[in-house]
Amino acid sequence: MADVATRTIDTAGMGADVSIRSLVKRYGPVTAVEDISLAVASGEFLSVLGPSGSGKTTVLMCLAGFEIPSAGSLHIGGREVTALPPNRREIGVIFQRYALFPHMSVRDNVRFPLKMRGMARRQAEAVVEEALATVRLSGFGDRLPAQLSGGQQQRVALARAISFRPPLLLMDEPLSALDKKLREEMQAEIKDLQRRLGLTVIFVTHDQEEALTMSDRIAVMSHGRLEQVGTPEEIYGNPATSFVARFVGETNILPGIVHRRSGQDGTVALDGGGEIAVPLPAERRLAEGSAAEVMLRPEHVAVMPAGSGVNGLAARLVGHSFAGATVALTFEAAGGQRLVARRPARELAGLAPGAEVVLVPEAGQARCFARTGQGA
Amino acid sequence: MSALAAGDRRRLSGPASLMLVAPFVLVLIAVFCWPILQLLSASLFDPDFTLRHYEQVLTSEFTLGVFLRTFRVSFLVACFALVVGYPVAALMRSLPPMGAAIVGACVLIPLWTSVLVRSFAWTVLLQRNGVVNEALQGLGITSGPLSFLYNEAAVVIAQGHVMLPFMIMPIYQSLRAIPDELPRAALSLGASRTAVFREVIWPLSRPGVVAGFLMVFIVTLGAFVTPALIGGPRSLMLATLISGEITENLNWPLGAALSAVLLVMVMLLIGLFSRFLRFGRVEM
Repeated sequence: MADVATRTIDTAGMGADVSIRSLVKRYGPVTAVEDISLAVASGEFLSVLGPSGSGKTTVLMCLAGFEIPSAGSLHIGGREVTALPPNRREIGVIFQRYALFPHMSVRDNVRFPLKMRGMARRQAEAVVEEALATVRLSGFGDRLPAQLSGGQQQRVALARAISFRPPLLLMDEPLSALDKKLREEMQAEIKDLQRRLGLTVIFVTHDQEEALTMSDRIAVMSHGRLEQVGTPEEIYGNPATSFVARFVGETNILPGIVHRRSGQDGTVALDGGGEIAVPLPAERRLAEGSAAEVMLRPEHVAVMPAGSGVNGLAARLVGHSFAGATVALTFEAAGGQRLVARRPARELAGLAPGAEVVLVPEAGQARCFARTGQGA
Repeated sequence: MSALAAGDRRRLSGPASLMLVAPFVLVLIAVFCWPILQLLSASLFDPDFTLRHYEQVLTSEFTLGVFLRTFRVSFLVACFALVVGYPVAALMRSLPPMGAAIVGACVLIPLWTSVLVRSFAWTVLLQRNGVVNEALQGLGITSGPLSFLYNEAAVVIAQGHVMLPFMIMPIYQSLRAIPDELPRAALSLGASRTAVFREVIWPLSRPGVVAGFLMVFIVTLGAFVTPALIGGPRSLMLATLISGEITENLNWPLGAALSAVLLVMVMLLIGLFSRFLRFGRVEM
């Protein structure tokens, strides 16, 4: 570690690749993580996205070394770390509630990992100042954590976690305690820092918007399993399971029966009446007559006046909520089925509650999944 | 946390809160303050105003020796309770809630038995034909009975045991106030387990340590039962001396002067360290 101070923090390409192989974590009879394998490239920003209880934090705690896996192995930068104690893993960890040492000044907090590595005080001071400058907190060194705002505290935690130049940063819902505006600022800041330092980041969140904005790839988890791993575009545009479709972004869910399938296409007869054309790729094993649900993003629903002759679902406008550039229109179709369409705000003109319309799904945008017992 | 608690507090008007505490204050004045004042006046008027008894307390080599011993023993008792109590508090902190409750009950239940009973238990253990001596001889470690009782070490152990809950509870409180993430963060930053304790756990639990230490020290300064039973004449402590002056020598003025000096010393200590002696809200 003697050469730490001679390297500058702006060096790129220091990220380590991470490989999680068949990770299992059980707590007594409860399985928190069930056989997860995942490879993260050097310098990649990967989000682990899932609801609470999906096992995402457990994966992170296993990587950090606070939990010992029940089975499987973990590799960081080509080195197996499965049984390595946390203080020898060289990983920066950012916690949800900052975890700054309340009895130490900001400077001593950031200096802590350097002190633990036996770096001389004077040399450490320079690294600390640089780390504080990186998170734009120069001049705050003498304050106590309690004298800082939440966002500043999280930036100190960030400076502390990068001051010893770990090749991997683990973040456990680091922004969930901040308000929306500050959260967005910090998202940009973290992303920028990650790019500049070339860090590998594994970022746990339950906020799908956050995951979509920040990540190179997203791993969606549910009930201790991986549902899908892919780029934000893939996750949003082409969800692999109905869980992913429901969890990421807004979506309309229309239950029905597969009516006809031919090659990659088919139609689903909706329970409430009407038919909808859906792509049916081969890997979706949906035979004709099987129960299915069609997922349709609100922005993929076009609204046509009734009687315009186009094919679609007859519906009636029941409400709308204005959101600046767009407006969310809520419709009721046959059988009481509710649908939301998100349209540019100008399209609201001339539509009053009670208006009869035809809803037309954009071609090729509907997704069809098998309907399971609980639907998720 | 404290902001929340403060927000919840509804303020009563001045006269209303005064009336609420009035009965308690009156009882306190009648049965507590009044006798103490009488005792103090006994030390100053014999029958006319005199400082003779204070002079005797502060110049007699014997009484000064007892004061010194009392402070030394109290300090050692607090040290003993700290060394034994800290690991117990740390154990309670590391256990799941159920386990912590069981250990906590084991710590607190002795408080419900009389100090007298607990001190007698120690005499049963430590006397010449007591449990410890029998065991040592039975095992062939010693050939004859050793005398454990009636020395300062015995007082330190027995009184330390009696005071243990007062040490464990504040330390446990301050350990419990340390969130799990802090030791984890320290570990992830490269600290060994020893360094985590030295750099994070110990400094953050220090308010509890200070509170427990002062509590044990101050209470032991005035402790009577255990030193009297375990200590014997060669390790005479202040409370035993006071009781002897009053009940055996019938020298009320001198007993009163000794009490007054002890009282002033304790109050000085409490005043000096009052910011550490707030229970239930140990600050970080």
